[in-house]
Amino acid sequence: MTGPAETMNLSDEKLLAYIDGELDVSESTALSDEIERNPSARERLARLKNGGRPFAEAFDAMLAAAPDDKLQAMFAGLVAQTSGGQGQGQADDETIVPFRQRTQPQAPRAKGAPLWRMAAAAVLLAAVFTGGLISGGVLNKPQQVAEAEASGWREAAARYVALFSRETLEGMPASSSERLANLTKAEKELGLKLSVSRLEDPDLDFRGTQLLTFAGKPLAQVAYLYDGQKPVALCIIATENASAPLAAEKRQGLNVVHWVEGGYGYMVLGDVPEEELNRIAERFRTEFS
Amino acid sequence: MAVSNISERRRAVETGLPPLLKNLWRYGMVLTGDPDMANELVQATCLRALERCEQFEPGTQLIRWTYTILSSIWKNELRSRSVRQGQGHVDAEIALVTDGIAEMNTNILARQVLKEVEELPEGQREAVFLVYGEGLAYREAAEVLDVPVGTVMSRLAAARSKLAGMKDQGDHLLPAE
Repeated sequence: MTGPAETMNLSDEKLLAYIDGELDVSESTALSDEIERNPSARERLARLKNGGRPFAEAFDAMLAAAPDDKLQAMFAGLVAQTSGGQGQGQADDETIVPFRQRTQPQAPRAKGAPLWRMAAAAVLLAAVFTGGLISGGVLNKPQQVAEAEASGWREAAARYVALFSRETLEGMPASSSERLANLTKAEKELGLKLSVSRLEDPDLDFRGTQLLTFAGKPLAQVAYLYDGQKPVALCIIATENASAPLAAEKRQGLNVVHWVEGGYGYMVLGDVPEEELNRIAERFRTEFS
Repeated sequence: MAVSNISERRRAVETGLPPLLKNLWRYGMVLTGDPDMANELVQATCLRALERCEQFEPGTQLIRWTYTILSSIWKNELRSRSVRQGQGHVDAEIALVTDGIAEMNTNILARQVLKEVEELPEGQREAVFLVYGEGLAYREAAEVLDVPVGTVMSRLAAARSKLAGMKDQGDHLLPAE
């Protein structure tokens, strides 16, 4: 493998490989002999050895300083975000960009951990998502939809709703007292009268209300099941925008009908036929006008 | 068959990554010297790993695969953002000894070593971390960094030469706490 010792390359790199045990036995033996004969090599070898440190121990101290809770929460969020459903396959840029933006304070978490500056929409959404599946308990807490790009709250809400499944909605609080408590909370934060009678629709099975925030503003999300299986949401947010009539669009593979009235932006969305959604939206528009 | 294969890979990534997040964060810290940037880098890395889980070969080392992703995201996407305008000099902002480490009463020697490592240029710091911190072989480190083995070797040699010089000059060279 290696030539005669006298032609051996005695670079620092080679000497370091010798120190680090990266040479095979024959190379190592040959080099060892050469070092014996070569004072300059000995000197450089000593210097390189002198540049050694207990690196592994030092780096271990960093490991202990890692914010593991936050990292685990972040990862759980990414897993939910990228697994199945319609939230899948978003472009990297699209999903990474919002995370950098500073987000608004959220309600204290159970563990009392300080708000992670990079708290991502996905993480929080996933907390709702999985919480809903497991216990429904997390759904009671105000959550946060991170600030998306200027296209705004409708896109953020659509992404959020796209993560919903029938199972998620079934996990929402079933007791009327819990539902009422959530409704009252949303009503208070939003400053808009939200009663069960206003929110009911003959074609929709009312599943509950959640309070989210978008860009620091409260965002109420009322969840329904259409046809016993399709999640439909009515989202309401305070806005300074001028009133605007019903308009339809598609986001995240969902049909969306949105309008602005009396200082509030509304949207109804779900994977249901556009004409059905229009009818539902029209009914809510009348109810809230 | 392809489907089950992908779901198998997905599962390997999903279940394999949680215990490695701290290691990824540490690598992120070594590169960025900034806890927030490290968080972001880990997040971007995990997202990429999940999205490309079909490229992961079960049975191979997940940590090295994700280190490769992290290294590439840092170099190709995130680093440019962290470099200040003008005479941007990433290395000047590196701080491996974070508050967390300071609070933890980490032994003085470990802190001193990290302070010295902070002084190294990024490429050397990273090579030192992968080879001496993570115990990767030269060749493995070269794969993570996507550079020839010789490059890893010369970075390590340069790093150790510099560290030897620091030792010669004694403790006064260490930055003040």
